[in-house]
Amino acid sequence: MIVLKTSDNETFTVERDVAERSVLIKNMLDDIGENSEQAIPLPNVNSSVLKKVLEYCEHHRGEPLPAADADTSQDDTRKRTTDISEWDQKFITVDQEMLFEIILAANYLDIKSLLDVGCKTVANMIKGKTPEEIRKLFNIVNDFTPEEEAQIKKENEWAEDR
Amino acid sequence: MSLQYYVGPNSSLLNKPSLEENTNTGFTSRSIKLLDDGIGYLQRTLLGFDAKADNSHLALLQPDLFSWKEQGQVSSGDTNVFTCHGEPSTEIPGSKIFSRTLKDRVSVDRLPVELLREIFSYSLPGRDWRLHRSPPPQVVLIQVCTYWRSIALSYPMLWSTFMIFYPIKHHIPMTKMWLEHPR
Repeated sequence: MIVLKTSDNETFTVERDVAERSVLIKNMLDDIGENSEQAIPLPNVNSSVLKKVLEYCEHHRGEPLPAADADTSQDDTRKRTTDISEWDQKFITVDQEMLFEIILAANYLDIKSLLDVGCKTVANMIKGKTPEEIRKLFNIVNDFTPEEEAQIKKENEWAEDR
Repeated sequence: MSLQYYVGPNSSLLNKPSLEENTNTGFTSRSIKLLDDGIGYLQRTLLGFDAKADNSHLALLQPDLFSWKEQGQVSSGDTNVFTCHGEPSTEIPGSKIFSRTLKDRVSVDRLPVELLREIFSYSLPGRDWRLHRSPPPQVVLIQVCTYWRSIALSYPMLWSTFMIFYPIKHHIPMTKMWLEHPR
């Protein structure tokens, strides 16, 4: 069993194959050796986020991990689809703050499949929306200067008599 | 009152005009650097982020860090919105940090550039996209805010392909704009 320690000093004891869904943790375990009982510190992940991440790792345990040297052309093909499995969709149905926390944690812990699920979810939220709708969705301030606004207006001229 | 330095995607904490004025004020580049380092240290120790790190400029966009907002500019529901100008309240900026740290609040703008690029790449249209229904997603992305615009425009992968399956007359000005757009 592996002990993980979060930024808010909570500890989680998990089975090795679950923890090793994270490439970061896997590499750490390889470095410190089999018999270490030391808790692995995860200073960039708090307990509520780690709990969610471990739920994902537990569900996907045993599945093959993506190769570290994955072909980039395959990567481009992967990007074209934003399909998410039913379980993953339910899993990632969380509030925006938690969604971004999960994405940041997946990136830090190097869990590529979870990172993909998070990024695809945000992409799906963006798809089909106007800039104004996206700003409203994510509380983003329109900070364009008048010059940039003029440029944007120009960018939209092609659609004027659409 | 307005902030004397706006920390944006392409700016450092000490803005450029201050650096250019150093010969008039008597500041040496060394003293400015020391001041810069001092501010950075205070940010790291008291506020919990590093303004020099890649994504740090956005940490300042958190509402809990600065409490002053221009009245009427932000709707009541816009809890993540921060404006740089307006009257300061009596509250000390950053005082709420201790009860709720920046790390406790994450918005889309706290995501690093590489993750936003990843998200943008997933936003690219599939073969079912039609110009008469919606503009290319790339064009939408660059019209959201200056940060998204700079990230999307500097990511060649977004602009390397333009698909025309069922040509309509709007494809002509659209393609012209696409090819002529400064990137």
